Amino acid sequence: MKKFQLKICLLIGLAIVSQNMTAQTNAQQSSNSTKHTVISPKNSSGSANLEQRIKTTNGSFFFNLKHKKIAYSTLREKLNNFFNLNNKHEFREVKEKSNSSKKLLQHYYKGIKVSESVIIVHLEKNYVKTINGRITEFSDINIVQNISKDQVLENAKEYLNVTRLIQNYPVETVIASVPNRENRKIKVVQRVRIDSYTPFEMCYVLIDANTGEVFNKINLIAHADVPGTGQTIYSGSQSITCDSYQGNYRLRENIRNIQTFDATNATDLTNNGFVGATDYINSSTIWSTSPAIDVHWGMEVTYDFYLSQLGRDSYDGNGSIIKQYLNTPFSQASQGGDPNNAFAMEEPYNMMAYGLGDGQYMNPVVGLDVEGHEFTHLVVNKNGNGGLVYQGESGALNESFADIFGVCVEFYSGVDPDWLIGEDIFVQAPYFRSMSNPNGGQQPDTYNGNGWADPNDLYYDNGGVHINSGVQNYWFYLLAEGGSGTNDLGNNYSVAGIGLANARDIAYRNLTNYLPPSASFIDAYNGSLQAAEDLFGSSSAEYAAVKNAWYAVGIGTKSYCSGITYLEEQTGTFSDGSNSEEYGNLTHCTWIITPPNANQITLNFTAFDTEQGYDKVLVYDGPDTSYSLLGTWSGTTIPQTINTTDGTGAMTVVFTSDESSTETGWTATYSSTILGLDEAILSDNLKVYPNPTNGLFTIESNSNENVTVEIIDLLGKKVRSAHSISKGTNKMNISDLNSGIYMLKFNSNQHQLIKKLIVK
Amino acid sequence: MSKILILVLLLLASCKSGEQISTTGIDEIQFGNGGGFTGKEVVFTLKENGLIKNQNDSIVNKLNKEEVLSIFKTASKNKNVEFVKPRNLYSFVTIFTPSGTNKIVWGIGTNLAPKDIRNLHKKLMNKAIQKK
Repeated sequence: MKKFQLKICLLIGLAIVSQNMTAQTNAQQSSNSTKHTVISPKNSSGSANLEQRIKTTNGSFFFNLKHKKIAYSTLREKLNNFFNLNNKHEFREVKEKSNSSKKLLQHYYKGIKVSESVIIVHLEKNYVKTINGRITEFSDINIVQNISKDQVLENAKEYLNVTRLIQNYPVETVIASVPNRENRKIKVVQRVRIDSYTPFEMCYVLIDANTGEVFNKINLIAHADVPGTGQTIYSGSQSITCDSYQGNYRLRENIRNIQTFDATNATDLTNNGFVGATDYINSSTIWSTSPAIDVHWGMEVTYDFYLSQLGRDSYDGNGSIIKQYLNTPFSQASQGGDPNNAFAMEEPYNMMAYGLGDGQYMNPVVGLDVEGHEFTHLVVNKNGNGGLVYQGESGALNESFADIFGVCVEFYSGVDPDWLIGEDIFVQAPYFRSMSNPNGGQQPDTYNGNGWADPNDLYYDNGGVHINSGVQNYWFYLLAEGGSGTNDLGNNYSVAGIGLANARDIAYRNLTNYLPPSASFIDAYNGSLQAAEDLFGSSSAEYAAVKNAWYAVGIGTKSYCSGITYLEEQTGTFSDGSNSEEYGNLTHCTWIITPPNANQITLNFTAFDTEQGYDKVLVYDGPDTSYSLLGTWSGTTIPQTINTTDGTGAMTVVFTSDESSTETGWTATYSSTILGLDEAILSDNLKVYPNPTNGLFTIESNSNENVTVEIIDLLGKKVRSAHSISKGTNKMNISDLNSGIYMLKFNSNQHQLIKKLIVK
Repeated sequence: MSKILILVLLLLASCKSGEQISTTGIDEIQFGNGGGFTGKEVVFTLKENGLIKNQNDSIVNKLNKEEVLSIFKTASKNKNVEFVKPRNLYSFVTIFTPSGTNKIVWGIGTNLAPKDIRNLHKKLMNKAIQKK
């Protein structure tokens, strides 16, 4: 029993000692933590938390926080604390990155980008795995900017003695670390890129935003790059960039990161390219005619198009090397390949290959639209959503995007642009595909129309990927250029073109934001509408054109109305536009009724049939939707007469429909109460601004009569007695009145006028 | 008598090879690469008689019976493989049997398709371009 008691005592004693030791250890840790609030990379995997401050090495840091279970949102909230930065600093997430597990955070100070100061966060299962980067550490700096953008460009050109620019770039205000005698200093600078022919420069010039002094020039050209001239087969003589190498020149360049190789004697294919491929070598920078010049120049143009027009640096947006090969084994008939073809090889190769043609059917397959087409396949593969599966409808969309941006590259170059694909490369045939007339290239121009290939028949062109691409190709053509006709389904269409640039931006946004890997044409329809809404708004002409262009190629419903319609007659009739048919899905149209000198608008519906609860007519008491909503109607009951408030001579009517089910729509008539002739005369001579006002406003009178004004609220109560208005400018102050709508009642000997005034 | 016996044995031997090819259940094999800018395919066909023809119907090689038998046996073993994952440039093997056709497609450079099929394609392509 004693032994047992002894054992119990020992156990209790050990437990107490153990507990004390643990407590001591915790206390030490706590003490250490309090004492040393800075964590360094070495102890980052220990007890670090987000209340602690990161210790960087000249701004650089790397931490593995995998076991901390820190949510990304929490990390972002704590970043300033983490780096001991005040609240004038912030980190904004850089969008458009394809890798959702990686987040790039750009440093800003008082809203100004801090150059080269970024944080990279990698996530794993929604928690922060690692955080690294290099930040520019500073507290507060003067951000005064006295130099205009034009002056910045002039100073930069003068500094470099530039007489001929290649192209203009926008001036960017950034915070940068710049040389300051023997040290460096953090300053607000204006940064402008200068690409010039004379002298040949590609560089950034950093200029003091306050004084205009040039701080620094950052070369973008590696020493090896030199300008050259090359004779293409199809596009005449063109300026190119090559690099000097052992006394000769190669078709490589470091700025765009383009490398062009001869793969005639290549053997194996590896992730790094074709083994045995060789450089094209020339003894001078003037290159004679060769298909290699076509693809090298063509890829430079393609790169420039994507960077300058879409903000995409290389196929992946990260400036990766662009490798291209001519005459690979896959293009040599003796190797079982096809010389009459060109292709893109996606991950892990990320390269392009071009055949030299058999000379009978095709010449070298190196037209500019071919380069743009093949490069776009790599872009599609890196669209951020997993690419587009190369079969069936998604494969047709993949091919179509390659054609769309291939044509865009051609238009961007300005060298004989057209809507044909592969028009340069044939010995006899005029072209391979036509975006303006897909039927001419044995493609359908209508979904399920003539020439449509069964997307499920994967034995035939992988489900018609090079065939059914004609449908979106034609959609894009109509969207850019406009057109009318009757499609293969018997539907009449009319599309108002929105121009190539707008169409291009919608297509690119759709590709990079909304299309899943197995997208069908209906996904492209929905995604492009969303892209148009993002860029231009759902009541825009661009949105309507996207919809009408899809209707033209057999997808979706027609947009019978579009954008904003202004009705300025004293009376009139208007409708959803569908007449005897049913209105379209996803309609968003606006009518603004503003007859001159109107005092009140009255609206009467004569027919009304919309999908109950989903497709709606909204009426506002004024010239836009910021005014009071008078009511919302849907269903089959004809609404009662709707009036604007007395003195409000404008009404806004909005019609929206959802993505499914349509009805016969509605028709309405409107009439307006017009100010009497006397009122109109006075109205012409009196202006009130600003309206709405914060209380201070001006009455400008051009009347020779003695005019008085009194102010009345909506209850009819006079809140300001009659006040004499003199000819010219009269300042008024009613800032003591509550926000709301008031009436200004003007009186002269012969005339009377009421104007509405909104006090914010 | 011995000459007749030898002749009979030779005949039997040749019949045996012929029977074996036909018993694989393979009528013919098409193979090649395709896709790219044009979407066209380069197609070769191997028939039971050992002739490999290109798409212009020109003979590019003739295989002996043992080679055909070996290739057809591999094809027979994989005749029901379902794999269609093309990329912009793809390879294919199409196996024709009395009961139907099976086209196996994979992106060039990818190793996702069954190894047997990829090796078969490589072997066939080498025969088509007469590469040892």
